[in-house]
Amino acid sequence: MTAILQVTEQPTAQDYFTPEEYLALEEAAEYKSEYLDGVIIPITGGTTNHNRISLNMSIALRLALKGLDYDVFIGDVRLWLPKKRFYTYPDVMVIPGKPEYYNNRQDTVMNPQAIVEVLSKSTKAYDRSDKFKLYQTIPTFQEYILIDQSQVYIEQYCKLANKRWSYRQYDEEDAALVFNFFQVEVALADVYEKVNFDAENEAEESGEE
Amino acid sequence: MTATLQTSEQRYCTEEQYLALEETAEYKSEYLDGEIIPMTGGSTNHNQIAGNLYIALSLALKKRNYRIFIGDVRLWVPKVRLYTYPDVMVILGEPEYHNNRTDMITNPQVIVEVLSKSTKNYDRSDKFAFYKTLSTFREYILIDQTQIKVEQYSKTENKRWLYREYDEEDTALVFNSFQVEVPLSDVYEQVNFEQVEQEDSQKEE
Repeated sequence: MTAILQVTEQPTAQDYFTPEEYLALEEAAEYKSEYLDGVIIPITGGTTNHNRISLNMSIALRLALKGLDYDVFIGDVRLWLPKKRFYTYPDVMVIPGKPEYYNNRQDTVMNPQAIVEVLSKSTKAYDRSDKFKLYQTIPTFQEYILIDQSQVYIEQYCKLANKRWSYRQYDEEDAALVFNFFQVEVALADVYEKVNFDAENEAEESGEE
Repeated sequence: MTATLQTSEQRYCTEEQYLALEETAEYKSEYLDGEIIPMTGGSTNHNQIAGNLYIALSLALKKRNYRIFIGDVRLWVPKVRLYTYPDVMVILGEPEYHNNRTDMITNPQVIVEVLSKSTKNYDRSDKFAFYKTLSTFREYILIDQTQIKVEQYSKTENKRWLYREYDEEDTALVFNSFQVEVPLSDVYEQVNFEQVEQEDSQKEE
């Protein structure tokens, strides 16, 4: 899912929303929005390639982690970051053990170990920069995977120690994405299964304002 | 220096057109594959931090085979056709000039960028991706000007880096490329954090 980064003028005259107001609006809304410290940011729909990659990753992770104490969630589960007052919907989240729910809400979790984001042209700088900073405030967060949808290109951050991470890039020379924290390998061919790069490049180019 | 990210009206420009314009221009611009992107002026804090780093590195690398450049030297990144002016660059050995022009180099080992509100996402994302295409590039330092916060990428091998953050709990920034430590108090010497908000709000539209 990709949040629109321009602050839109129209939604309401209201500038600041409480988290409760956001959640109430979100339940009735026809599309999803993020929430960051008072501001509601609508999320655009994803492309078919975006959806294929999220799905491929979820399937691969679900299969690889079968029988192990991990949960895999896709797109629909909200993540709450209390330190930054940030609500968002990561593309894929892996949670070790039981989900830690916020206020007993079954739709909002707080303890992902791995987060996967499929990059869109309009939000890739946000995902790589500000969003990574926000996610770093999650105590359980250990692994961040950023997947390019326009070419075989994946970036991976793995936490080594407090304030230290390893950073690795994968491209068509590599065979598999290796998750560090649960020793799972996902073939890059599986990550990009059925993804049509030609369609993506055209749609992304013309889709920009 | 901070490039403004709005696309200008300008159509496709050749490298030669850009370089010719740049020689007579009153302000600097970046060039990315045909597009000219004007750079805004930096704040005094921005300038202070770049200067502090330049001084610290110059002293630490004195008599060693490195050169340090600040703000004015253009970098050419051939794979993506980018001309830009990094805040501070460290070069091992002799500068490699592009087209024998002594104002354009192609072989930095370390690049330091002081982050501005409007360009930090660009510096962390696309710009890092561009710099990574340079074969000599091994260390990338990003310095926040609004608080004590430094980010560091150090290359360990092909397509692998270490990423480290420094904040007020840390004492010194450690350059991995040449084993130099710069105390964070030297990085932020004379930087006025209170000033920043005001400058930022004036600059943003």
